[in-house]
Amino acid sequence: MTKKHPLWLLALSPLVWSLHFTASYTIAAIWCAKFPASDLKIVKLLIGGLTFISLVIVGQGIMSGLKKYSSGLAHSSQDTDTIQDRDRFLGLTGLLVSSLSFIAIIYNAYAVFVFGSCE
Amino acid sequence: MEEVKDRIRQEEEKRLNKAWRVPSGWRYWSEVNNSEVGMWYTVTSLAFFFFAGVLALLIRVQLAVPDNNFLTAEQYNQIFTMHGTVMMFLFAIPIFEAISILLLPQMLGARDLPFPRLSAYGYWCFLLGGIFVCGSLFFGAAPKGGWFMYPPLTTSYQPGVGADIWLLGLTFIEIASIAASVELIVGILKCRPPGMRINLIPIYAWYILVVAIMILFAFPPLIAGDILLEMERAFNWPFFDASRGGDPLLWQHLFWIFGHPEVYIIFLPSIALLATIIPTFARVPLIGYSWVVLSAVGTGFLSFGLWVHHMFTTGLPGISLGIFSAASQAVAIPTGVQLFCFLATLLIGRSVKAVPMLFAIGGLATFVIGGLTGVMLAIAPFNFQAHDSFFIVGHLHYVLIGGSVFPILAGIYYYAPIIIGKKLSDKLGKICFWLVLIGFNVTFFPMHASGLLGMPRRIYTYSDDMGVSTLNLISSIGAFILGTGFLVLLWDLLRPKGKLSYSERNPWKAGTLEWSMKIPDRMWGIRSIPMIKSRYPLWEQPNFIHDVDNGHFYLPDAAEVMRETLVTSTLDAKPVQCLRVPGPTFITHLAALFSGGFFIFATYHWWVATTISGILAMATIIYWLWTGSAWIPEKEEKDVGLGVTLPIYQSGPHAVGWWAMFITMLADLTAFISLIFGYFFYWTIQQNFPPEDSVGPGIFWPVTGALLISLSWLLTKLAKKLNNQDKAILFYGILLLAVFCSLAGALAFLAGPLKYQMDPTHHVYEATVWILVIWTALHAALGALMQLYCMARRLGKKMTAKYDADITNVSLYESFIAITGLITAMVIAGFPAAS
Repeated sequence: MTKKHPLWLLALSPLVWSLHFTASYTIAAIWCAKFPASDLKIVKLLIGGLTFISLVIVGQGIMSGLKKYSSGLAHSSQDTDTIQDRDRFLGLTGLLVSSLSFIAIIYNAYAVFVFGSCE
Repeated sequence: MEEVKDRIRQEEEKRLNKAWRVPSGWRYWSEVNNSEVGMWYTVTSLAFFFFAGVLALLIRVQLAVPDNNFLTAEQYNQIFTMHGTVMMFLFAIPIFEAISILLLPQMLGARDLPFPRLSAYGYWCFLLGGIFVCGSLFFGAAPKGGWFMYPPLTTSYQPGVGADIWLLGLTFIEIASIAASVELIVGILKCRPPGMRINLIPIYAWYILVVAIMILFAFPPLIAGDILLEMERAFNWPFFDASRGGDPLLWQHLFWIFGHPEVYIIFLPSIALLATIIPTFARVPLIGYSWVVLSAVGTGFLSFGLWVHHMFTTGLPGISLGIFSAASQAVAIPTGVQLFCFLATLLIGRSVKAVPMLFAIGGLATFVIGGLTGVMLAIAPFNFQAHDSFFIVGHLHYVLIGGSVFPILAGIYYYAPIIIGKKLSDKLGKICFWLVLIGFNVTFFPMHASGLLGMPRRIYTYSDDMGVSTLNLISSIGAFILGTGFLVLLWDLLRPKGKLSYSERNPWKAGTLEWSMKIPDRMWGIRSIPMIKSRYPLWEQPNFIHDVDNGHFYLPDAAEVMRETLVTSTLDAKPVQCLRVPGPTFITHLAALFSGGFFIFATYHWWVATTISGILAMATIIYWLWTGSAWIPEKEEKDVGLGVTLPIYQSGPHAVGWWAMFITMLADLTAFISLIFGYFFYWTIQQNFPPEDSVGPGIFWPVTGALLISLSWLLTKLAKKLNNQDKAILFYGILLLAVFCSLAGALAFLAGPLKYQMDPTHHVYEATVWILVIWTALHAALGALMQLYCMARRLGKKMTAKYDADITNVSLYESFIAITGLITAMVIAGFPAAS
């Protein structure tokens, strides 16, 4: 159980957000510095592709958290010292953190897509 | 039978007392226990807070009326710079470290944190650095470039030592902060009581874990920026000089990559105090524990995507502003979630009136106002209008005082019985609260209006024609009301309490573990390390305090009269080691003194004294490690109670030292990546980078350096294996070869720019290559020193085939250095060749 769900997995979805965010910023900054007069079609294509991949990975995090949180038990306690409660806690927290990352990635991508040029 | 049990208990307590006894007389200052160090840390941070508060009053006196000459422009610049600097670096961050060092062991049922001497070293560095930075004000030599030290103001227009004091003094303190964060991360992950699974960790510890990890990634970019700015000031390396390819905006990036997460580094621990205090007075467990953990983790991450909203007016492309504006809006989600959880807890519970709750609710309300203006400022067009105006001053004080100072005041009133054994006065607490609340709003609310009317920040006076005179006068009156509130607090803390009786145990009827302490507390902390089955053991575990007091849990004794605590597994808190922690020493003072000397002498460019101090610091730290770490125990295992026997020595991922090395190197790698960011930043903004008239370091020497450093890592790994097989001769031979490779690798890296005669003052390209090469070479040389240390440890019989923590940790270090070397070579040799 422990091996299947190490603690750092909690940070996986936010890490995907971080990478998506950094990549979006870097691509946009380099493009606008090197080709300031051009439109942003290529930038949007690249960031759109990255967004799709990121959302798929983070979506997996949501599904995996949901599965772990609701793993065949009648009650939803996460407050006792049992392995089941621990896993439900990790499931719910993973689900929430992944959902937040999902929203933040969409925010980020949306911001990219409303701009027509670097100016 | 009872008599025998009593006698056994008394004997145990006698041994515990002896092991944890605080030295008396002048030797008291050699103590390293978390209670003492945490207390010193807290008192010192508060002293800096009051100092910076007095500076704030001077600012408000100056701004009370138009065209005032109470302060000169020079004095005003120094005072407002020091106000911001001291509040941020010497109060807001250290106070969270102080409170955590003081209380976290109690919350985790640990006798101490795993590296008490590291905490003490951090404290003495903080004290020394703080006095150095603050003292400069009394000599008229203080920094005056604002708390953000923007070049070119701080490079071309401020020739005095003020900016150097800021850069080097604060780098020194930042290193202490990173040391504290290593201590806190390892403490939370590895020193929890048995049974305290990941879902039962006190919510305070969750927040501190997140914040300590944030420090690892937020502070190193500033340290990297400090290095670059100081290199420009001291040696004319043009990192921020536009005429030679540099760019002042790089400083802003590095500063705010630190600066914005820092706001959350300050805010989250204070909110953690509220998350601990509110359930106590609502008399119910915190509602939405997992949601609050989400908030902490989510805010921690998102806070790294906001830094450019401090740079909205610097001319960055609109698309970049959009990306950062979106992230700035998104962070409101986790921030709001935790506030709703607190409100739900208050609504579901039966709230009890108490002074800490006054501050908690006042803080939440104040913070929400600051948060809302924060959302306004995250919208770029509004930001363009309000930037650099007093609106920002109003906003940031609502966030920082509401989100940090109010909760800290709540924490002071709440935890006073644990810290000083006595409750503070309810009456004075209420007076303090109302004065602070009213004074604060009278001071800072008008600033939003004066800002919108056009009053700029950082000006030492203004004209009556601006129409902001009345608003400023109101702000100044408010500041003195606010100051009076803090004076009431100061009096409540300092007034003689000899006649006041000790507080009852757990006076607030809290459910969390730290309240199981006896009052006044004992130096050993908790009488026996409990088995935890709930987040609120005092509410939900029957006979809990009785069992703790009667030594029915783990480590009720100190049979060998040594300071001990338990190490447990990360996820499920299963006991894995009985850790012996070191006791009182003055070596930490010496190490801090020499480390301080290194930074302070460098400020004045006294290079000989700097070098000597650096060597002495290194020697002292080696002596400290030699005598105070990785002791070989007299026996392999120890019975820790309840039928559990644990090893006394661990190495590798089970050992706290391995974790400390891993975490430290993550911070180190982050600083290095920040320098790499600098290289690519220059490449991005310049059409020709490297410039055509500059020479590079070639390919041969950087590649050779990287290969040698990587080989050194592989040899160190091999030496570790040979040590485990007890093949001593081969071990020494291979490790000696590794030392040679480390040193040769360092020299090879330096050979590139030397051979091609790269002049670091000519252009930022040369300067950047040099800084990357020096960074890598210094790390490789330090690796050689560590490898020699391991050889000496084995020769001195401090390391054996079985007890191999030293070589295991050095092997881990070398793996990070190999990564550093490879990246450096790829960037300085591979990238120009490829492009």
